[in-house]
Amino acid sequence: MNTDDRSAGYLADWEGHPSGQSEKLDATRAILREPKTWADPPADVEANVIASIRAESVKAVDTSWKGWVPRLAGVAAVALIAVALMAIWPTGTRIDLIGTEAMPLASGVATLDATDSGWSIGVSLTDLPPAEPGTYYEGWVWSDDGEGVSIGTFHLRGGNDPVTLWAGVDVNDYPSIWISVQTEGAGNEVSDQIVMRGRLTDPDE
Amino acid sequence: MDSEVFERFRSGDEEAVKWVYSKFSGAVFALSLNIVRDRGRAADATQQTFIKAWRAAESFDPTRAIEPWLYSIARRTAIDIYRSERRGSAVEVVDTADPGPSLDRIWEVYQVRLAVDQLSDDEREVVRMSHFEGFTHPEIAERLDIPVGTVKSRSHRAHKHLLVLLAHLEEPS
Repeated sequence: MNTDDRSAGYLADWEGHPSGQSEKLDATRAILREPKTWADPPADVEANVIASIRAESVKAVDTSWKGWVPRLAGVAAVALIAVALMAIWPTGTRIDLIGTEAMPLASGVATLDATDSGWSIGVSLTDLPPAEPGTYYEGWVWSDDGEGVSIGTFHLRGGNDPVTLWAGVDVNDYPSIWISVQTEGAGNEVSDQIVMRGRLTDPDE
Repeated sequence: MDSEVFERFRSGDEEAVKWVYSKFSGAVFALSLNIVRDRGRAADATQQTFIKAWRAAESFDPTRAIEPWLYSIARRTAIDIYRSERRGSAVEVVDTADPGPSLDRIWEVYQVRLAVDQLSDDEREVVRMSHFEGFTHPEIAERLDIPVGTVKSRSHRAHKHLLVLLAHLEEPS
């Protein structure tokens, strides 16, 4: 592709430069006409990215302190400091939950904690309305192979207090979390009304 | 990309994260939209891409170009979301035999959007109105309230600039 006037005119689709003269320039012109090429992400995505990175940065600081303090102060001091740190910094892995097109204003955070009984998944939600009569919300974890496991149900009709859900499977093998709207009596399968999504990301990615 | 900015991005500096996001989010979103074909899922993919990039930044060599690296993360993330959605759907999905855009096409979309986002605001607007909205030069002049000659010169400059930015997509002669 030369950067001369003729090529610029061709790319600009001016008169006298019909298509078919250059496959690559024709492809570029087609891409420039596509609405998807010009689409911008919703405004809240940037804020969500920054909030997630900020939250994980705090956790990283937590980890680094736990790494070097023992070398300085010994086992007894570590025990005391670890207790102090746990009181200051949040524990547990956080997953941002994002409203889908069905519920674009909804947002939330799932906090994962491994227990002896399985994974406790605390879910705090904002702008997710109470489930309509005859329906309820259901949480799911999904594997990358497309296998879903229910982690509990709720309705939020009493307010938006945090909800605790439970997973008996290892969330590392089921890294996606969905919230669906279910209809009472419609069976145990996930519905096609997914209102929120989030995903646990591999640490090495 | 300036290695100092990348270092700040890697450390989680908020201004650097915003800078990286503003520079690449349009291209990542356009790429994602071409794969998942849904604005909500494309938004999910865009968000996850930047978070994954930040997490993986520790192992990235800042002397290399960031664009191909970010592209590979974005493409993989969007494909994961697309596959996960299709496998998880309780609704029978009828395959329309539409395989979606090719990998070459997705790479080109990403590159074209990156190039467009490097144009000045004036140049970008003329390119957008010309290709996306399909306006003629006189129509653009009327809408921007500037002389037709200015539109022509601006369009010519913008497209020459695009050619330079997209020169690496050159077809073999």
